[in-house]
Amino acid sequence: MTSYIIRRLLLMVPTLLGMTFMLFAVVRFAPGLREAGQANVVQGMMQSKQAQKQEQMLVALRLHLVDKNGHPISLPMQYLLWLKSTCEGHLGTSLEYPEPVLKLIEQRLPVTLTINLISMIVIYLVAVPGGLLAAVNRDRLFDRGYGLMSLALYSLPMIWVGSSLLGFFANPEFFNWFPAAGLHATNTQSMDFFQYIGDYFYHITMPIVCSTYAGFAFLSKQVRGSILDNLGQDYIRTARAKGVKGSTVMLRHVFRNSLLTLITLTGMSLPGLLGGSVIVEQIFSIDGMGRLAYTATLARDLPVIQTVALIGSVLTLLSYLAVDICYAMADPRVSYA
Amino acid sequence: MNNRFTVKDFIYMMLLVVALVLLGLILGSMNYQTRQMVSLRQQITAGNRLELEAISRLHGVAGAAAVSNKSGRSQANIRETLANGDRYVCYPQVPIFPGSPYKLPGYAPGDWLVQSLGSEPHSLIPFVTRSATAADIQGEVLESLLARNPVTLHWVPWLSRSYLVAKDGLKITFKLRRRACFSNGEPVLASDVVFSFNTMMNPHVNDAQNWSYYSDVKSCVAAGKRTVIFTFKKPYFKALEEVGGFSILPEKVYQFTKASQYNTRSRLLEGSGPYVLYRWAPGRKMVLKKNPRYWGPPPVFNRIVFRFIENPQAALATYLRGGIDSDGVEPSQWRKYTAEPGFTSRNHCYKYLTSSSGYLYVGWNLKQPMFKDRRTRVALAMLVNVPAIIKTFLYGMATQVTGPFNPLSPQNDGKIKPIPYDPAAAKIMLQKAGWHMGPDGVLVRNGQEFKFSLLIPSQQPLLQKICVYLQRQWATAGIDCRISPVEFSIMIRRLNHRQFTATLLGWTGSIESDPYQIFDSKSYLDEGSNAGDFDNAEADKLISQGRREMNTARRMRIWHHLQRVIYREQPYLFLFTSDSLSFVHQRFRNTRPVGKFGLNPANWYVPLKEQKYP
Amino acid sequence: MPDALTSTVRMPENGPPPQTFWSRVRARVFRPWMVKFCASYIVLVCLIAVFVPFLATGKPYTCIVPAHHGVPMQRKYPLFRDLTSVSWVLLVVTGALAVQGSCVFFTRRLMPDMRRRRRRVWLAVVTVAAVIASGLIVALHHNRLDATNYRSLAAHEKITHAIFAPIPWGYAAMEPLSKNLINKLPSQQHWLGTDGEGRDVLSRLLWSTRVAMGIGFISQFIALAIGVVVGSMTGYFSGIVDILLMRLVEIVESVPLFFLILTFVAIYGRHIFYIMVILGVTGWTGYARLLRGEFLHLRQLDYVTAAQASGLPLWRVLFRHILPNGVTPVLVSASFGLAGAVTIESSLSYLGVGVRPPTPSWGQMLNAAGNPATVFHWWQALGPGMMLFITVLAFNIVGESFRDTLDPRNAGAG
Repeated sequence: MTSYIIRRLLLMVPTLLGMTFMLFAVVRFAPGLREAGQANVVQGMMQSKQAQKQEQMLVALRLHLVDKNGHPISLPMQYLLWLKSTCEGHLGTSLEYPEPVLKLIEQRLPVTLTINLISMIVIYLVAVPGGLLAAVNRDRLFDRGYGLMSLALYSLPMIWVGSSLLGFFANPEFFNWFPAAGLHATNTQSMDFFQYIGDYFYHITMPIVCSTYAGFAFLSKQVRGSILDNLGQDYIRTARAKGVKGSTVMLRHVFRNSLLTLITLTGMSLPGLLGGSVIVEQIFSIDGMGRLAYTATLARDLPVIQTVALIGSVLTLLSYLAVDICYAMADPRVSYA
Repeated sequence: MNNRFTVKDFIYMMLLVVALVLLGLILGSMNYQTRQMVSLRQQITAGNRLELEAISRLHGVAGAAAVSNKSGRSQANIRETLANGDRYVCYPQVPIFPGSPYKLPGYAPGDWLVQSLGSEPHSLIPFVTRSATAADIQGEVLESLLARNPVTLHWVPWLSRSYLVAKDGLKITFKLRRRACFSNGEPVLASDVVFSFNTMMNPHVNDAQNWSYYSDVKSCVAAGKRTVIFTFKKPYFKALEEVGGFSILPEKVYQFTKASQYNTRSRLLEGSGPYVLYRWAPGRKMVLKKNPRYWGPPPVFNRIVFRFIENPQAALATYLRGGIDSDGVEPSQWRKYTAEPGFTSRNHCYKYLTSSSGYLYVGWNLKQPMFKDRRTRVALAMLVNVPAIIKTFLYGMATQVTGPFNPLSPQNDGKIKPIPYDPAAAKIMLQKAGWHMGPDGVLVRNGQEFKFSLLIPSQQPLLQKICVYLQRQWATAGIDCRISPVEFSIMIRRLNHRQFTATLLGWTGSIESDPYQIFDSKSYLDEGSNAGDFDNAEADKLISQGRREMNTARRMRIWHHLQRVIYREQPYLFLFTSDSLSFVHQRFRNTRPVGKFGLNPANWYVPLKEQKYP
Repeated sequence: MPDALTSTVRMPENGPPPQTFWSRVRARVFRPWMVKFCASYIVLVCLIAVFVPFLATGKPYTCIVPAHHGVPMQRKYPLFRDLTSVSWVLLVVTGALAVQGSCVFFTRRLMPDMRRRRRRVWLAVVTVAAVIASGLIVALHHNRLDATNYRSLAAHEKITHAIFAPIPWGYAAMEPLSKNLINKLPSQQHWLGTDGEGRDVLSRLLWSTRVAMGIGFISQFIALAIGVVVGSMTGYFSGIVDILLMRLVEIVESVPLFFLILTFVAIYGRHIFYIMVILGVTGWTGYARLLRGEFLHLRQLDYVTAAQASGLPLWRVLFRHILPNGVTPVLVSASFGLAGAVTIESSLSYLGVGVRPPTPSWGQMLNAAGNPATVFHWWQALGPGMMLFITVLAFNIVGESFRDTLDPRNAGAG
C-alpha cells in the first residue's frame, strides 16, 4: 500500500507539470492580453484616451513577457519564470486590482466557504434521512415519489430558479420578502451579535435555496444505493435472525456501514467548497470566488485566472488521489499492475 | 470496548468541527470589518481631539462668508481681464454655488446618505484607478485647485484663492487659499500641488491615461509657499481645466521613494475634501465620514455610504426597501414606477440631461471599400429611425444627437437637423452609390456583397437591443449585418488594431470636449482613438485652429463649423445621448438638479425631525 | 435476470424477430409510461428543431403577387426559397433517418427472410447519399437575406392568397418600432407575449430547440468518440500508455472551461460550433474513466484471451469484442451528459457568452426576461425555463431508467 501511495504521489508530479503548462498555454495565447486592465468601462462607454505604452510595459513585466530592460522573453522562459515564482508562493498581482491575488482570494474565500458549508449542511440534513426512508420503503410509493421528485429538483435549471426567485420574491411588484443583493444590511455596526447573525441568514436565504435544491437528488441516491447494498449482506440477515429489532438493525448496522460511502463523498466534495457557483453569485450579487473568477475572465486578469484555476485543479487532484487510495484500500480486487 | 472511537463519535467530531468553522467564518467576517475600521480610525484619531475646535472654526467660515456678502469691500470677487490682456480671477472667500442649502429654512446638518454603486472600485489610488465608481468616491475626499460653477460654467478658484492666465495662454499662476487644509490638519501648500502633479506625470506611477492631456505642460513649479506656476509649450484651450482640475494630495501622507510604494496603497485615500474614508468593507460598502477639520463650507451629512450593488434591478429593490437613499434607474424602471399612483409624491423623481452624459454611435471603418463612399454612409443613417429607438427602447428618455458634442454644451450647434428616417430615399441613395440587388437578396457593388459585422461589447443589453434593430432595418434594404459581441478588453484590442468593419459604442461627454482624439487624422496612427480613420483635411484644419484659440466665442464658432463638416461626412452614425434618471428618498430636501451637472448630493439635507441615522 | 442481459446473444441469421440484447434492453427501458412519455418528448423536441422553419416563421408557404406595373401575376414560395443550408441539411438527415427506420421496420415485418447483410448495404447507401447531399448543400447553397414583412404586405393586399405558418413570426422578426410591441403580455396574436425587442416569445422558444439539441447531441458525440478511444486504450494496455493517458485526462480536467470558451470566442468569433466543440473536447474525461474501469475488468476475461489468441487485429478485439460489453455504463452516462450539455449551454448563454444575437437560446431568453437592466418579465422566463426543465428532466429520466435496467443492483452509482 505504501509503495502504491508513493507511486501515486510521484505520478502527480508530471500531472502537475502538465497542468501548469496547459494553464500557461491557454492563458498566454488568449488575445486581449496586453489590453487587459486598460478597459475603461463606464456604462458601456469608452473614455477617450490615447495609447498607453507605459501601462502595457507594466503589464508585460508583471506577466514575465519582458525582462526589466524591456527585452522580450521567449515562451519557454516565460513558463519557467512563472513556474518558479508560483512555486515560491508569489502568485502575482492582479492586473485589475492593485493587490496581490492571494489577498483577493483571502477576501472572497470566507464568503463562498460559509455559503457552501451551510448549503452542504442543509443538503445532508434533508438528503440523508430522505435516502434512508426511500431505501426502507424500497419500491413503494414513497421511494418512487421521492426518487422522481429529487430527480425533478436535480433537473431544475439553476438560472431559471435563481432569476425567478429574484424576480418573484425580491421584487416589490410581487413579493418583496427578501433582499435582492448582498449579504448584509446597511447598518450592521449598530447591530448586536444575534441581530447580525439573523440579518446574515435573512440575506443568504435565497442563495442557499438556489444552491441546495439540486444537491438533494445526488446525495439521497447515494445514501439509498449504499443502504440497499448493505441490506443484502449476510451480516444483516444474521442480525435479523438473531432477533434484533428492525429499527435497530437499520440504524446500528446498515446505516453505520453506509456512512463510509458518505464520508468518501464528503471528502470528494471538499475542493468544491472553495469554488463558488458563478451563477448563484452572479444572480444574487455575492462577491465570492465564483464571481472573482468570472470577472477576472471577462477582464482578462490573467494572474487571478491562473491562480484560481491552479488552486482548483491542485485540490481536485488531491481529492482524486484520496479517493483512489480509499478504493485501493477498500477493494483489493482492482489490480494496479 | 467502551472507549472505542466509534463512527458515531467521528460524526459528532465532524459536526462539531463544521459548526466551529462556520462560527469562525461568520465571526471572521465581522472581525474583518472591525479590523478595517480600526486601521482607518487610527489614521484619523489625531483629528478627533481637534474636532470641537474644528467645528467652531467651520461655523466661522460660514459666518465670514455671510459678513463678506454684506460688507463686500476688499472681499469682493474679481473676474476681470487686465490691461495687458491677462485674465485674473480672485475669490477671497470660498465660493458658494447656486443651490447650496445653508440658508434654506429647515436646514439641518446630520443624517447619512446611502447610495449605491454599480461596481466596487478596485482601488482608490488617485491618478491610478480607472473606474468611474472610484471617481465618485474620490470626488468626496479629494479636491482640486478650481471648481466649476454649475450654472455659469466658469472655473472658480477653490483650493486656490486666485488664478492668472497669461494672454498667450502659456502661463497660469495660482495662489492658494490660506485656510485650505488637508484632513490631517496640514495646510495645502504649493509643494503639495507640485508633488501631486509630479506624481500624476510620473511614468512609474501606474497611470498613463492622463499623459496625453498634459503633454503640453512644460513645467510646474512652486514660487513661494502658496504660489504655483504652470507653463505650457503651446496654447491649448483646455489648459486651465487640466491644471486646475487634477486632485491635490497631501505630500506628507503620500510621499514615496519608489513608485511601487505609491501604486500598492490601494486603500489609502486622503485629501482636503469634506469627507474622509472611514471604512471599506470589501464586496459590500464604503463608508465616508464627515471631515471634522474641513476648511470649506460645512458638509451636510455625518456619513456617506456607498453600497456596491451591481444588478440594477436589485439596486432598485434595495432602494424601495429603504436600503439606499437614491438610485439611478433604467428607463423601463422609471416608466414603471413613476406610473404608479402616489409614487412621485412619495419620492423625488428626476429626469435630466447632464453635460457628462456621452453619446452612442455606430462607427464605420472608413478603410473598408464599402464604407468609403459618403452616400452609402448617409443611406445607412437614413435607414435608422433614431426617434423610434429612443421612444421604444428608452421610453423617450434620450436626446438624438447630430454630432460629437453634448447637446447641453455650447460646443453643440443646435441648428443642425438630424438626418431623417427615410428608407425609400435611402434605397435610391444606395443605388446612386453603385449598389444593386444581388441574387442572394444582398446588395452588390463591383462584385462585393454588402456584408459586414458589427462589433459590440457583450453584457450590454441596451446595445444588444439596438443592434438587433439596426440589423433588421439594414436587412430590409439588402444589407447583411452580422452582430459580433465580444468582451470589452477584446473590443479595445480590435479597435486598436483596426480589426473591425463597424462598431456600436459610446463616448463619454464633457462640457467642452476636444475633438482631436477622435476626429483628427493624426489620431489614426499609433493606436489612437480615431479607429475608423476619419481623414478630412477641412476637419483637421478646424481642429488645430480650435485647439489653439483661447477666445471662447470664436472657438465655439470653429466647433460649430467642425460639427457641420462631421455631419456632412457621417464618419459615425450618431444615435443619442441618454437622460439620467434618479429616484431620491422623500426625506431629503433641496435635491433638484442645479445647472448642467445633474444631481449634486452636496446640496441635499434632511430636516432634523426626519433624520434616520445618527 | 440481469445475467441474461449482460451476455451478448448470438444473432440467428433468420427466423422469428431476433431477440437481441439491445432490443430486450429497449423493451425494458421503455416499459414505464413515464419513460415512454419522456422519450417521445425528446423525439418531439428533435422534430421541432428540424421542422421549426415551417412552424414559426413570418414567411408564407405560398402567396400570389398580383399583376402590377405590367408584371403579370406570379405565384411565389418565399418560405421554401429562403430555407437556410442548416435547415436543408437537417431535413436531409431527418429524411435519411426516416427512410432507414422505415426500411428496417418493413423489411423485418414483411421480408423476414431478407439477409441482414443486404439490408445493411441499403442502409449504407442511404447514409452515403445523405452525407453527399449534405456536403453539396453546405458547399453550394447560399442563404438568402429577405427581411420583407410579408404580414404587412398581406395586410395591404400587395400579396394575396398567402398561407402563413401556424406561428406567423420569425425568431428575429420585429414589427416596425412605431407599433410598440415591446414586452407585451401574452395575447391572442402572441401566445406567449413578446420580448424586449418586440419579438414573439413562442417563436423564439421553438427556434431555441435547435441550439439546445445541436449542442447536446454534437458535443456529446464528440466527447463519446474521444472518450471511447482514450478509455479503451488506457484500460486495455495499462502500463505506460495508461499512465500517460490518465495524466492527459487529469490535465484536461484542470482547464477552466469558461475561460477556454471565452478565449476561443475571442479568437475565432462567436459561433455555436465552437461551443459544441469545446464542450466535446473537454467533456470526454468522464467517459474515458468509466470505460477504463470496464476494460481493466473485461480484458482479463477468457473470451478476450480467446479473441486475442485467434489472431484478430487489435481494433477488432478492442471495438468489436470488448467495447460492446463495456459500453453500457458509458451510454447511460451519455444520456446524463446530454442533459448536462444542455444545462451548460443555457448557463453560458445566460451569462452572455453563448450564441450570437439574434439567434435565440433558452439561456439567453431567461437572461433577457430577468435581465438586470429591466424589470422582471415573468412570461418571458416561464417558457424557456419550463422547456429547459422538461428537456433536462426527460434526458435524466430516460438515463435513470436505462441505468436501472442495466444494473439494478448499482442504482446509486455515478
